[in-house]
Amino acid sequence: MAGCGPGPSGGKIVLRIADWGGAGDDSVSAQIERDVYAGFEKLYPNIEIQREGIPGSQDYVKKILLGFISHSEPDVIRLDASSAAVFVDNDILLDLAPLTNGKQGINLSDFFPNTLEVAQRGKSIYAIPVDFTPMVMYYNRRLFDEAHVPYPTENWTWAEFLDRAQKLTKGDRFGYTFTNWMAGWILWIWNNSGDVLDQHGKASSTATSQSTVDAVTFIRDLVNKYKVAPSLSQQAAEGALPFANGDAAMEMSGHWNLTTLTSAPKIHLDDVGVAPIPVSQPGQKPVTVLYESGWAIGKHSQHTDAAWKFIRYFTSAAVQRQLQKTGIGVCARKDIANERAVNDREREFLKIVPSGKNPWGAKVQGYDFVEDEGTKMMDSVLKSGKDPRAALKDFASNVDRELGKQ
Amino acid sequence: MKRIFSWLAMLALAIFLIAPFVWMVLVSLHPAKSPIPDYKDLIPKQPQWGNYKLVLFSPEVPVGRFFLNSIIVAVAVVIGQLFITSLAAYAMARIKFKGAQFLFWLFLASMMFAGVVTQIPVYLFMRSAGLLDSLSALIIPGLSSAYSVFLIRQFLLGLPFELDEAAYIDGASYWVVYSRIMMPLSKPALATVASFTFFSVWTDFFWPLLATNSMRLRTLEVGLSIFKNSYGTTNWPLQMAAAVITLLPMVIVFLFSQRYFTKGIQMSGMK
Repeated sequence: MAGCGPGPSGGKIVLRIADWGGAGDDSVSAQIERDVYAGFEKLYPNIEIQREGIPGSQDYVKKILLGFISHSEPDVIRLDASSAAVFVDNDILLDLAPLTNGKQGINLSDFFPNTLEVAQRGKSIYAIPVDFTPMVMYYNRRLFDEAHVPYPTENWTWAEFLDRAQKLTKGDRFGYTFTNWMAGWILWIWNNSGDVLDQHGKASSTATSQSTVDAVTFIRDLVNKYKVAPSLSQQAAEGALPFANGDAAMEMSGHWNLTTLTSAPKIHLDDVGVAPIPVSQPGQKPVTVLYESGWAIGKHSQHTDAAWKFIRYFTSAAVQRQLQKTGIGVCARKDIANERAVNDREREFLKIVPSGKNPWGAKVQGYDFVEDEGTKMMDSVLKSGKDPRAALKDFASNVDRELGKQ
Repeated sequence: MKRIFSWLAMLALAIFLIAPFVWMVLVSLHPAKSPIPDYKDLIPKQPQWGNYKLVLFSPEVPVGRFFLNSIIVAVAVVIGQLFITSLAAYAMARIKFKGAQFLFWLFLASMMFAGVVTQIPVYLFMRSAGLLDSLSALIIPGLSSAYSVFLIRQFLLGLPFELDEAAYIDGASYWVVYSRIMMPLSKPALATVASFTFFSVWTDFFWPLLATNSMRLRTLEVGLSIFKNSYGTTNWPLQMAAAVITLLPMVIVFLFSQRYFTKGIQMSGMK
């Protein structure tokens, strides 16, 4: 019967594996992934994999939750750090701790500790990390050289960032490109010792703090006062990616950006450098966020043994060595990540990892609402000229009201 | 002079409306994986028609199957819905029975609920019936529509009642009046319902995503969205090629049915 959880198919176990789809073309990465899945079926001939690609991050959450309600969620579920809390804290996933400690276990010390924390609650662990990316500042060396501007340094400050951005802005070219994507711009706030939520998941005290207000004011000034970044409407009208097109010298993004830059005709990959996010005060330590993904097992899975075999296989050194050729993320296994760090850029990514914190969505349910409100708040500041303090006050009250319902 | 001005205004409006479509086609012809180009580079130096081939014949995305699924679902829902809703509309508009008005209000009330409200109960129902991950799960929930009943009923109310009375005097049954008199006269309303339904089924994303798991059961809208990865690695040229492929059947249907769209809006205001 369709939809009631797979049973044996021709004597085989059908293992349902959900992720968010992929590039879906015949590119190298898709081929590598196909090889990895085929390798598993070859290793375990009694297991047949049924891959279920669910595009769209919010739709992914809704579909898996609905599947759980009706006891028909996939056996193996790709868990994204940005929405992990809703799964981990609602008892939807199997606690993998007994399996990791068992005879066929996994050595958790092989992984970066801050990637494990995403799905750890006390002694329980609900997902084994696969890959991740810290958010970093990308810069185009060629544009820096042309403008005789020094490259970013490890502990550079907002003042140094602004100075460089101003020198790089000339004619149609901008020093920086800002995207109203809260998962990215929250780092300006973190690197000014501010935040949008406190440890109890409340916005009112932190989001209206001076540090947070100052960070949002700084972003506003970058775009509207110093004009070192194209305005949001300018970007929307052009619909283009300024950094990838060589029209902006710096951009905040994750490791995945490299896959786009590899095919960008107007930027050479050798010209692409990465640096930590600048800090507001000299001597301050930069902070970043780690966007991680891992594998979890659905609580109603009838095939936990096969699911665990898959997770062990997928997170093994040999398979990760193969998968990391896709270049989308940094491997969550320390050994493979170090092996892959063959150039300065990759080594820079690894240097930034220890300063990485988990996104709020790994700890707070309903964080997608906070991000939506954050986007609206930033729009009101950048497009409508609303005062940052007033905008953050409204943001905090909306967030507290919504999260208070949970 | 006035006429020239109105033509110019219409031309400007047409350019404004068609620009996104042209942009989509031009981006789809850039090399796969390349970023969205600047305006000045929008016209590709070497149009990559191969992108369409890549999308249509991708080794891991069975686009032909998606097309077939979309067509099966859209045709089945349109035919099924036309039959079921026209019967209901006929009964409500032309047959006097106790509680007819109340029943109509119930139909109207169901239109007040947002679609998402009913999605979870429908999903659980499909799950209990063992129909998830099948084409039936995509067809059955679409077979009835309060809006379509409303639209056809409004049209039927506008037809002279003398037609039915004359038929009854000649010994015609309800079925004969429905099938031989009312339906042939209701072609405009039926065509309107058919085109509205086709567009909504063809463009539906969330329900097919919820109700199906297997790649072979995906509709075009869901299946091709796999080219849009939500984690920053969107392959824009392929995504745009997929969008053009999804859109083309709708453009063709629209060209044949556009007059019914305006008629449909007028009709819903009839008594």
